[in-house]
Amino acid sequence: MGNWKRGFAVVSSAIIMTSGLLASSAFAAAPTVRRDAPVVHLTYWNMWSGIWTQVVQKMVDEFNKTHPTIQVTMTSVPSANGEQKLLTAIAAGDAPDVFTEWNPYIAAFAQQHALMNLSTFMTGKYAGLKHWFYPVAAKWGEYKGSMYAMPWTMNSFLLYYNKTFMKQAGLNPNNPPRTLAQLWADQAKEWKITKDGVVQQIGYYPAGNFEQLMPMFGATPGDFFNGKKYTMTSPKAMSIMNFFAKFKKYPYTQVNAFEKGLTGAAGGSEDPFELGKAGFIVNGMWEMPTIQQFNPKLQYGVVPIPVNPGGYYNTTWVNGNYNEIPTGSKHPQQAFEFIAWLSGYQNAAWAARAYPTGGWIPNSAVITKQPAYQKFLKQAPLRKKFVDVMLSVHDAITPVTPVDMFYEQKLANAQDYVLEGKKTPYQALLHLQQVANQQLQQTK
Amino acid sequence: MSTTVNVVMGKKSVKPKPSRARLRRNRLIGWLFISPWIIGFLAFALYPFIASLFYSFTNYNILSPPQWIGGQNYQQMIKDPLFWQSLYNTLYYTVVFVPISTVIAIAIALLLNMKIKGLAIYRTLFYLPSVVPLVASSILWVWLFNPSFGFIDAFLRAIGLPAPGWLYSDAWVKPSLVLMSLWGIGQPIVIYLAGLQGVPNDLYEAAVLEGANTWQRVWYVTIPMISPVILFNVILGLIGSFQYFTQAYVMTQGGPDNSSLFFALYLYQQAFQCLHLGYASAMAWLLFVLILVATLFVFRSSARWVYYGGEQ
Repeated sequence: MGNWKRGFAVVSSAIIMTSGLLASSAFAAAPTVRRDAPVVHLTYWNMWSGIWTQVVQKMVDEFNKTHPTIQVTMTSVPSANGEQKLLTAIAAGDAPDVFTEWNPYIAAFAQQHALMNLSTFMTGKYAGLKHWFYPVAAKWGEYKGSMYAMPWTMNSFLLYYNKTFMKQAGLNPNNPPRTLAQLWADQAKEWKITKDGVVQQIGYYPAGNFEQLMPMFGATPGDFFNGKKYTMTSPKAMSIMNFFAKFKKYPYTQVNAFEKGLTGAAGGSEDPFELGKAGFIVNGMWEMPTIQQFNPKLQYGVVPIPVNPGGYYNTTWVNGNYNEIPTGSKHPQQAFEFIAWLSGYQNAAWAARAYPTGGWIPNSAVITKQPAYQKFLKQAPLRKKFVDVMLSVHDAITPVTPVDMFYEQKLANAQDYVLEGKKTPYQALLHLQQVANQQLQQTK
Repeated sequence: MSTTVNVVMGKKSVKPKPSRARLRRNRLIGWLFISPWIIGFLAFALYPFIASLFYSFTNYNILSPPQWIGGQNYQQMIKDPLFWQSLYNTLYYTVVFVPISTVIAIAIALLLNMKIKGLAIYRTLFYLPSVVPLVASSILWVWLFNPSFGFIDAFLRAIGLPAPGWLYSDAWVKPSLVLMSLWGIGQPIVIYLAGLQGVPNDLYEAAVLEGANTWQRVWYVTIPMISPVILFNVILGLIGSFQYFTQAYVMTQGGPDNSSLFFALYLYQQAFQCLHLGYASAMAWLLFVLILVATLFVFRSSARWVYYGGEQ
């Protein structure tokens, strides 16, 4: 459970992709450059694969076309060991000029001096760049007050609900849950478990959703990390984990097996909601096109994640993909120009046309407001909800620390302990706090 | 006349002594032929081996130069609960898998050594799992072990038996992996089979004349005669078990609740996910010592139970 998180960076629809790729041919703008200007060659690594490689390659091609003096060569490195390859390349003095990374590694890399401080480049025409991004998106890329990774594509999270299941359970599909108490009550009516204990249908199961539920309990990164240490036994963290504890009444092993067993069962989809096997799921915008691909007849709706009393409705936890300039880049200035261009800064009209080819949520409200992106949102009105929540001041991220990756792994374990009934919420969070702080100590 | 011939023949039988230059050239050619292996060994085996000993006394994360911290990595291991958990998991797997796989492999080899119809087919069938790539067979077994959709639990439920959680249960995950490994013991079976075919028939004939039954022939003739092969397979099995990694990496990632976090998997996580290369090097050296001790122990004990031809 929770493995889908890594996949968010690359999961999007073939349908959007296809239409987008067709549209992307219209990106070009005529360059005006002296013929004898020297050409700088950049190496760019990312961890995309399959059709997403094509989407990003189109963007790179467009950059090369419009920037004749900077030519970028893109390489897809395997996502299973991309970070390891990057660090090895840096150590060997052969670092790429640009690397696309997902958020949990940023602070760790910055602390190990594996990344260049992007704030030093934000002068002159790039002076306004820091404030160009959604504030919550920029925070993930910052370490000790400086930006080390530039936001590129973002993810927000909402609640998907299966309308057919609601009807079958005697619920009103036009009145999806708005509070977590209502979600708990509604989902309980949708489980199907055989007398042998085999799970056949899930109502809602929160495994891996701890972070996504942060704003729903009014939690901020400060509730979990005080700037020096993790504080996981705080009242807000306890409230979230107490909600998890309610779900220990469901057979953990069977639910786990049910969800894992779906992998590939329907020709590639691994999501019980997409396959019509779950009543509710918290997920990102990429779920919509994959539903269209794997189960187009599914009757579903999307609403902001229900809240606890004191929580913030119509908000989201945010994560995404970020562009970095590794230490040792041979052409950092040109690399910065490249990633700033990809981010859509002073280039929003292009980004508004290009991002929909990947089904992406932009990193800045300026791009979202562009006519091309508004047109993309109007094509499927539910998309707009994912973009709207990016504007909330209560949007949250996980505390950015050098041990974030370790913390997220241990947080997943803590959730499982509670769902399985092996530990109380307090025990699970206390253990998480101890091991995360221990790890933090070791990295100093 | 004969003397002359002898002298001539004697001269012919003595090879001319090669010149020093020729000897040197031959030596050079020999070194050149063997140099790819020597360079590979020095660069990719000996150097990392020695370097890892140095790194095991340092704090090293690839990017920064290693810092000498003495024996802190080894001290930290003692305090690290996951280190002990991974050691326990590995010893559990070794202690359960090696004896069971030895008994089953010998039993199957004995069956495959019988002269029955379709023997070649049976031998092929038992060896077949060994040629399936580990990752592919791991994914196959993930399906078979699935408590909701898997064949094994469906079968158990159909005959009214309780269906375990297999890979999703911390109590069952290690037995599941042992069970899966037993499926792939085709290689030791083939080695045992070769050993069995080297047992002289006259020993069995003598045993029959003495009135030995089948079990006695196996216990007093076959097992002693193939005991060197058993020693060989047990040592290989021990080393393989201590280094158990791929299946756990593919199937469970160490879960649930670290119940399948084997030593080599934890070492990998420390090295390449946490970038604690010093700590991982220390773990690697401990693993080396463990394997060395276990192998020496088996070797020493072999004097009591391994029979080499000609011994009394």
